[in-house]
Amino acid sequence: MQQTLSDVDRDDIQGLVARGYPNLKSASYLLLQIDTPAAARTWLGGLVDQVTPAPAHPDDHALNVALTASGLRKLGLPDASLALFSNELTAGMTTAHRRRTLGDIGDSAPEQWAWGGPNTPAPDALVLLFALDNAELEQRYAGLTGSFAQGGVSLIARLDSVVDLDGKEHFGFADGISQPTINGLSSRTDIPSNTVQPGEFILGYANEYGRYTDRPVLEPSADPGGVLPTDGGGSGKPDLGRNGSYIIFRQLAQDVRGFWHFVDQASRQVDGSSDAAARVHLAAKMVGRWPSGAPLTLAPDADDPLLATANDFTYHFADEFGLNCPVGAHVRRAHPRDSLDPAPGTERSVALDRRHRLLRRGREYGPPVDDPLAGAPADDPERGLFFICLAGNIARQFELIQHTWLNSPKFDGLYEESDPLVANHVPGTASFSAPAEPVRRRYTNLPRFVTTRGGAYFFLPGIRALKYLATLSS
Amino acid sequence: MVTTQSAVTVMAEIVAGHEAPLRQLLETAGQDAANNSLVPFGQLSNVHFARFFIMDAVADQQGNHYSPRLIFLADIDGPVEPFLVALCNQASQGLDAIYSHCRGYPGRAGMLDFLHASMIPVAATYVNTIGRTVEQVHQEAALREALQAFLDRTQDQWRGADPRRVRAAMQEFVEQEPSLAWARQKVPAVDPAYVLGEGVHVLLVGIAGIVLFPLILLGLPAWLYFLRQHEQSEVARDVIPDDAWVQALAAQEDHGVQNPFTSAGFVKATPFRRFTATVVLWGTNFLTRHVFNHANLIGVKTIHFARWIFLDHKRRVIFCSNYDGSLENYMDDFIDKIAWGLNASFSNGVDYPRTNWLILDGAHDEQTFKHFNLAHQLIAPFWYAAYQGLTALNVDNNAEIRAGLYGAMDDAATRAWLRRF
Repeated sequence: MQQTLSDVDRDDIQGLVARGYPNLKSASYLLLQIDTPAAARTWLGGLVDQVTPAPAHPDDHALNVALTASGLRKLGLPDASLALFSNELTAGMTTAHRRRTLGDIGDSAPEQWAWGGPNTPAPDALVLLFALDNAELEQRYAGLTGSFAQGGVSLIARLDSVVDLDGKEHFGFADGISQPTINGLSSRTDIPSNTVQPGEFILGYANEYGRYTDRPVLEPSADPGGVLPTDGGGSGKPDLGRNGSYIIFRQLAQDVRGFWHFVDQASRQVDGSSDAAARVHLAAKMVGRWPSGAPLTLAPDADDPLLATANDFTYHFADEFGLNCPVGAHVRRAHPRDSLDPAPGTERSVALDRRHRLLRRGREYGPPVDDPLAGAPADDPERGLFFICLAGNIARQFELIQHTWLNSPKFDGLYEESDPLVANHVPGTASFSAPAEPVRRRYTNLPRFVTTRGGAYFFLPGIRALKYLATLSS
Repeated sequence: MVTTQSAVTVMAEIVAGHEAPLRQLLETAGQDAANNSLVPFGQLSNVHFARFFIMDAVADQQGNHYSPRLIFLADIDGPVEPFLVALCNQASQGLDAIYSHCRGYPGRAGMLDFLHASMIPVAATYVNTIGRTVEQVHQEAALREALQAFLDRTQDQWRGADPRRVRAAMQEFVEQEPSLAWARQKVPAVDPAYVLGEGVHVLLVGIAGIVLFPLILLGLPAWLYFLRQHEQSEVARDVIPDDAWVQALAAQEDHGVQNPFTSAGFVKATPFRRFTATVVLWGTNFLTRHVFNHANLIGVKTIHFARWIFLDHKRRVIFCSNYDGSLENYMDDFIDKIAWGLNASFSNGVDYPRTNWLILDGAHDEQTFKHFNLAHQLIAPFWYAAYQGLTALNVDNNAEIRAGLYGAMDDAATRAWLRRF
């Protein structure tokens, strides 16, 4: 079931699905609460015209908008319709089971969160605002907030990403290199292993199984005005999900000093002196790529900036045992390419990997660390990643990756090794092995480097769906 | 010596109205399945997995009613008889409390006979590795941990070393460790009588197959005709499970590495489907016994034990397993790796997503298949796992570590063995 470019209704898709607006360096994520549904619908109806669609290539600012289950409910979507969305959206990110699987326990427990947890107001809507620079951002922000009071919404939190780390994340590694290409959405052609069917990320289209992911197909009586697109599955009914996607948004604080302190201690020479090259090498082993982005599988011994964006490689034949890139390394877990059962090194394994991809749209927050080995100042501010990604099936894509591949210490035959970089390590139990000849080198007692500070699942509607939601009645 | 594994299945009818107190009793015990006061499974050293679960009263589409049931399953080393005796000795009071909620239970004096009489046969079983005992799993895990700790202490001195020197040092370490004395003995060889017996079974089935081949060939077109007729006329409802049910199921999952999967459904109410289900599960049992009997079920390496059980004159079937990782991953494994096998065995069940030619499509309809599973899953309030911290891959790797600790090994084999750490 190949989709062609004309099949995908690009005009109805929000721009964030197509691009992360890398040219717009400043961003604000506005978490909103709906106070007065009727006013909020009017406000949303007015906002639709400002929403950046997929075909646009904005050069000064962009705006996208998403809603949580509670937001959809407040806007007047009946429970029966809401129940057609995925369980992940309706039940939310903080159920007892998801805390276990996503690793949101201890310091990462939702009770400790800055937003999205039980002790803070539940977000109903998310406005994602992008601008060329900070001045433009402030101007757009001011214009937007002026409409809140009359629009029946209020601001819960403004999350700013106004830091430019030059393509790297806070630990110091190039990020976002391996992004899947959506067949039919982008005119860009990519290697087949990295090209996925639109239904993996856009509801209402065929996915990698050649099927449709669960989506809210409504009864015709629910859309008498015919605002919504028609179900691509052929039922003839209006599809509230079509051209929409889900957003997984998590605020992840990074302990940059803790990370570099750990690798510094673990890579010291026999005489106890610090070894800069060994330190970076160990850090790179944990990440799976060098700071430039060069994959260890291709550049095992030293960073190679010429390979900084290399993405056309596999693990099984080049590095089956992880002598270059450890099996437990972050990038090998998050995107195992051809390395997993039932048939590593074959198209079957690659096809499996394609069913577990994420479209990443995250950005960093907080000031960078100049010298991560220096002691922290007393007022060291929080820094980290606004982890934002899109998925058509949160359970199969984000949650499976987060739980089975990153947090599980059992990934690909391992024993006690959750993701060395991002997993919620339980003190005293986490280790990391760098396979070597004749025997592995194992590092034990990994501390936790990443802590969850907030999070929620959102529905990113198509533009016609936004218009539809704006016309509901309570 | 080979200690083979047995699948114990005990089914009892619950006295109407007693489901709730019984469920509560099982939930309380299930909070500490190894050491609870009801049935402390941890004290029965030959139990791999065990569970109690309740099947509520239900009616099928034809209007037949089925009484509520209590099902007890155990995967054990060795034969059933001595296990039931040991169980009754160890947990007489607890079993009495449980089975007092069941019809026909005669009291403690008659407990053993009651359990015995309540046993029902399994249609098919899967054992990850036939012959591997609980004791062996625990011992080999301890061996690996001791060797890992040894390597942690000594890893600095092995840079550039000859792999054979490293292995020799590990052997020496084991020899100096009294608690690992057992590991110095050779892995027990497989009993020739057992191998012979299995071979004879294959042979007999093969002969029967040859003898019956003309009949099978004659019957095949008719069977295919009926199959297509059924597949094209049957209606599969896509029932989306509600959030509360999904949460209730999730509450029992992912507390450790392993999870229980418990499900039950109706077999489609035609003689053809009943016949096909019987044949498919017979074939499944043959294959799991003779082919998929070591660490790999057609590409899926995350299942420790599984079984299929017919109930109520084959009107219903239960499928239960003990697997590694999340339910989502388990379902994806089903779809991505063994969809055809699942289709063959489950498409005879009511509401399974439509198949073609018995093995095509079906589970490939991902969302409908996942809905089907969630809608047919049951909660196992009391579930025991003897080695909850180990995946099936871990268990197998531990066995390979132990098997390779002693004996002649060339350089390549030594390197490969050291990669297991």
